[in-house]
This record gives sequence, C-alpha cells and structure tokens, in this order.
Amino acid sequence: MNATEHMTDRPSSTWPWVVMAIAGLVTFVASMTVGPDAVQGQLSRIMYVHVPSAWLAYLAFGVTMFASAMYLWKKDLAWDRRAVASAEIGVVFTALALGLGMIWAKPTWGVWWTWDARLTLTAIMFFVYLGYLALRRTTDDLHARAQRSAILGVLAVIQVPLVHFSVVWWRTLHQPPSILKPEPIDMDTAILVTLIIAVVAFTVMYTAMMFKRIELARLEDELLVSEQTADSPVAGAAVIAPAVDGGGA
Amino acid sequence: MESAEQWNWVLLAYGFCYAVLVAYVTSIAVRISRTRKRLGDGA
Repeated sequence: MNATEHMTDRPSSTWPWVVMAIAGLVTFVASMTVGPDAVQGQLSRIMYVHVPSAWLAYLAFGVTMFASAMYLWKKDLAWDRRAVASAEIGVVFTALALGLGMIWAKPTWGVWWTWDARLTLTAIMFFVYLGYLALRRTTDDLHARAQRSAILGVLAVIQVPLVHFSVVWWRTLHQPPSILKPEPIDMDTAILVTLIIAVVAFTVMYTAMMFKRIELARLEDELLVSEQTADSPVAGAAVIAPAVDGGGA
Repeated sequence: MESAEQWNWVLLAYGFCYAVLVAYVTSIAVRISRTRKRLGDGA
C-alpha cells in the first residue's frame, strides 16, 4: 500500500463471506449424509469437523511461521499482517479442535478431558498463540510489534510437529494419526472421501477468512498511523498564563 | 449408547462449531466496519 492509497478508498469485497458460507454448508451436508461408522456410530460425524479444525490449526500456524520469517527478512509490514491474520484464525480453529474433541471424548472415553500428551500439548499451543496475540498489544510501534511477534511466530511453530507426533512418541489415549502417516490409509472409502471434502472445504473457508482478516489488519494499521500522525494539541496549551503586573506590589 | 443419544452429542458438536465460526466471522465484519467508520471520521 503506497502513501496515497487508503484502505477506505477500496470497496470491501463480499465474495469471502459467500465462500465461507458455502464451505460451511458443504461440510455440514457431506458429514450429515454419509453413513455412520461401524464402531463409533453417529459420534464419528464429529470427526468431520474436529479433524479439519486440527488440520487448519497446523496450517494456520505454519503460515504464521512463514509470514513471520518473511517479515524478518524483508521488513515489509504486509507479511506481519498475514502472520497475525493466520495466527488469530489458527487460535480459533485450535479452540474448535479442543472443544470438539472434548464433546467427542465425553460419550466415548467417559471424560471431558484427560492429561494425555496430545490434548495437553494442543492446549499449550493454544495458550502460546494467545500469548502471541497478547504480545502484539504491548506496543503501538508497528515495526517493533512486528519484530517481536515475528520472532515468537517463528519459534512457536515447533509445537506443531510436537502436537502431531505426540501420539507416536508417547503412549496416549488419543488414537494415532489416521491420514497424515507414512503407512497406507486403512479407512472406509465413503468416510475417507467425506473427511477429504470437509478438510478441503475448511481450507477454502480459512483462505476466505484470511482475505477478510488481512483487510482488517490493513485498516487497523492505517488507523494507528493516522492517530499517531494526527495533529494533537500541545501539552499545556489550555493553561492560561497569569498576567504579569509590571507595577509591583 | 443409543443412536438417538449419539445424535444429541453430534448436534451439540455441530452447534458449538458453527456458533464459534459464525461468531468469529461476525467479529471480523464488525471490526472492519468500525475501523472503516473511525478512519472515515478522523482521516
């Protein structure tokens, strides 16, 4: 964005809202029309939103890492805006993955929560990225803010492989990976196709969300700059100096 | 667990999921609208 071009001059695009709605609808219809799993029954339908949410958490934090690294290299605030947009969306999808996992766990395991390695590491990842968003509120200097959060954005991504491989490295109650694994996928075709549809639809939804969240980040930066550069009254201007009586007392 | 009871959990999960998504997307729309208004007022 150059100095003369403002976000308020650009019309706000409406297509991302439509894309998000369609992606949500496609996921809902696909997951409600497929047959139930032979073992889990109807509860398996929760996986069609739980797994895509977990996948998007990985993707979003990976994008945050890439955009943060690009900011550190190029010092271009556009990369910082992409990083924060993806981090915030990633936090939402991590919360969804945790919440949906808990709703599935209660009828399946008998408990809402257990201190299993996968669950615990996912919760830690959620709080670390909440910390990333909080860190951005510590300064109004755009480049200082971008620099600090970019360092955290690069470092924090180490949690993604930790979360993913936790079910392999430790003995956990959470089942091992069903799709992202080196071995061939042993899953019913209809369930696998529905899961892929849901993952693709959620990824499209994430992309549309990114467009709008980046637009918001641009507007917020523009507002911050305009507030910082606005003419502000000189401190003490309202104070009227007392008249000096030259006559003496 | 009976199928009807399982459906209750499924509906709870989808209700939670879509409520969170709609709330988040609405928050983006509201923040965009508010920021544009503030820029329009002050810039």
